[in-house]
This record gives sequence, C-alpha cells and structure tokens, in this order.
Amino acid sequence: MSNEVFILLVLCTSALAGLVGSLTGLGGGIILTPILVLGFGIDLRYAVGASLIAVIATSSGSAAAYVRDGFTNLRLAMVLEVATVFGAVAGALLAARVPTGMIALIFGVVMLWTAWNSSTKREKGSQAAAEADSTHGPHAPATLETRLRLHSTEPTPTGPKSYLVSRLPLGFIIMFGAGVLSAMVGIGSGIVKVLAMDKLMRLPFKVSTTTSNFMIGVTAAASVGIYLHRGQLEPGLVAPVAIGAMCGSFLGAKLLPRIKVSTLRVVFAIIVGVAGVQMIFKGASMVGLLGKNLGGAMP
Amino acid sequence: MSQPHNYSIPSGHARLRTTLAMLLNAGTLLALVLGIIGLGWAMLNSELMDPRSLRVFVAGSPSAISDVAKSSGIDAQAIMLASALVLMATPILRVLASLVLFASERDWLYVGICVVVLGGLALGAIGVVH
Repeated sequence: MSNEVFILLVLCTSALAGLVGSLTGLGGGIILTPILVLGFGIDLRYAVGASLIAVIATSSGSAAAYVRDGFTNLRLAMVLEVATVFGAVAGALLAARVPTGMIALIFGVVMLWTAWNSSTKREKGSQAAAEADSTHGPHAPATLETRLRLHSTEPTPTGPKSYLVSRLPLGFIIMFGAGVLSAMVGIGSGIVKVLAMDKLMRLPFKVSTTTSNFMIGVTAAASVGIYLHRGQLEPGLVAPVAIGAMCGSFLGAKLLPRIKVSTLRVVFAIIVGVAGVQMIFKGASMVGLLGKNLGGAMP
Repeated sequence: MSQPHNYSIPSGHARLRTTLAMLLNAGTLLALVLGIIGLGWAMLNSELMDPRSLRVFVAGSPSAISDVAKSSGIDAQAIMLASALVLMATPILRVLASLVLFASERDWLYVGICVVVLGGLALGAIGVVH
C-alpha cells in the first residue's frame, strides 16, 4: 500500500468514525481503534493515541452545532463533568490495584445485554414518568435539579419541547463510574454516559447523545497529555485522523436534527454491541485467556 | 387543561451557547486548517506517514514534541503537531470560557462547578505525570 493510499483510507475511516461518533455521542474511538489495528496493522498504542484525538475532534467538531441548536444541556454537562473528571482520576489511581481485565470482561457482557435492550424503544410515557417522579411542574418546590436549573428544552420539528431532568444523584454516581471505566479500560465511557442520561435520567435521546458528545471532549482531553508524553501521538497519523473525524462530525451535526430517534437507537445499539465484543476480547486478553499483547498494551 | 411545562431558558444561557459554539468552531476550524496545511506540506515533500513505521511501538521513543523541538524551523511535522495541540486545548478552553461567562453573570454556583472541573483536570494531569 502506498503512503498516499494509506492516508486516504485513514481519512475515510476517520470520517466514518466522526460521523457515527457525533450522531451517537460515543466519540468514534470504538470504530477507529480496531480498524487501525486490525485493518492497517498499526500498533495498538499508536492507534489508541490517534483514536483519542479522533474523540476530541468529533466532540468539538459537532458540539458547536449541537450547542448552537440547543440540543446540548450545558448546565447538566458541566455538573456531570465534575463526576467524570474525578472518576477518571480515581480510575487512574485504582488501575494498578484492581484486576482491570475482569472489569472489562464483566462490562463487555453488560454492553452486549444493553445493545440488545437499547434497540428496543424506551417504554412509552417514560418522560411522563420522569415528570411524575419530579411531581413538580413549573412552580414546584426546589429539587436539586430545579435548584441547579437543569431542566431545559429540546429542539423538535414542531418547535422547542420542554423536558425535565430527574435522578441527578444517581446519574452523578454512574458518571463517576464512567470516568473510572474510561481511565481503567480505555473505552466505553461514552456508552455509559448516554445510557445513564437516556435510561436513568430519562432525558430525550438526542439530548443524551449530544450532551455525552459535549462531555467526552473534556474526558479525553484530561488523559491525552500522557499519550503525547509517551510518544503515542504520531503527528503523521494523528493529522489525517483528526481531519477525517472533524469532517465526519460536521456532517453528523448537520444530519442529527433530521434523523429519527428510532434510527439513531438502532445505530447506537449496533455500536454498543461491537464495543461489547471488543471489551470482552480485551478483558479476556488482560486476564490471560488470549494472547497477552492486546490487553497489556491498553491504557 | 393542565398548563404545559415551560421552563424558561435561564438568562445569559443564549450568550453562553453562542460563545461556546463560536469557541468550539474556532478551535476545530483552526485545527482543521493547520492539519490540512501540514498534511499537504508532507505530501508535497513526499514525507507522508509510512504505515510500516507504525507497526511496532518503540517504548521510550521520544515524543512528537521533543522531535519537533529538535528540528530547526517549521516543518510539516511541527504544523501537524500544532493542529493536534489546538484540538487538545479546545475542550479545556471551553471550560475556562464557561467559567468566565458564569462569573460575568455572578452565577457563583456554576463558577464553582467550572473551578472544580478544572481542578480535577489539573489533578489528573499531575497524577498522570507522576
């Protein structure tokens, strides 16, 4: 393969990762890392570094449009970033002390189950249930969510639609777990973020994916310095990856308002399924069931 | 008929949205332009990445920054690295910008939240280095 063809293929793959990542709120590293490693034969450590840059490119590239259009719940993102950032710090401290391979294995199985589960529609009236949980209405007594002014509106084809945020404390704890997970096993934090907001906090699906998309940029930026320091960011690879991911994410941001939520859920479920298989492989290699190379190289 | 929920968007929220969208746009566009210039330069000089050189990671190899620092003058590598650095800085600058905007609105609760996030990022960076 000539160098030009290689760069062109990397650009196209990264654009696909950026497109899917920006639509689902998962970042795109889940798609990019295995293609770089298995498709192009790139060492996992370079691939992980490049994927992290792709995640930041995807997040920032599409977040501008999502923030402007009003999909992203900015205040919620900022509150939850506290949990993910400190979760990541805790995860980095814990990584040396707990069996990360077993955690990856368990999480992989959970993801496969989730993929199966999240392709089905959320039960009807769950937003109504969320509102019933909060029981409050506009003149409600101050709950934590109201005090933090987290309730907001989502743009829809028929105009802005109000929604309520509920179960913030539980969501906060899960986000802490997402941070721990991202620091300990490298992937999956976007999935946990989207699921926590969608299933637990009962936010509209597009608000969940775009708010996760907004947050993962910071989570990734928190750990990218060490990859640079370790020599895992190779500018010649990172540049085409970033260019592709940015272009894909611009396209994703244009498409999102027009895509049906049901279609988005199916795409999300497929990606989560793929990630689940990856996670199981990674866990298995970490605990020594497969070759030691894959797991040992992970961050 | 029950009154539909109508949570008004908090004051200043529109300004926060516009500013953050502009900042994120500027960061990505600058990174994109730098990336394209760097990649184009590398292509013209036949310095494109050879995939074979990425097959094996050399532990303890010098980081891209020290590579670029050693070379004299600006080259394709330096511009591509600058693109990556701009990209990495964008989300952190976004938190900083939010902090400034919340402070200008005297929204001290969210100023505090931004400070805690930045503190966490710094803690992570320190922990990571050590």
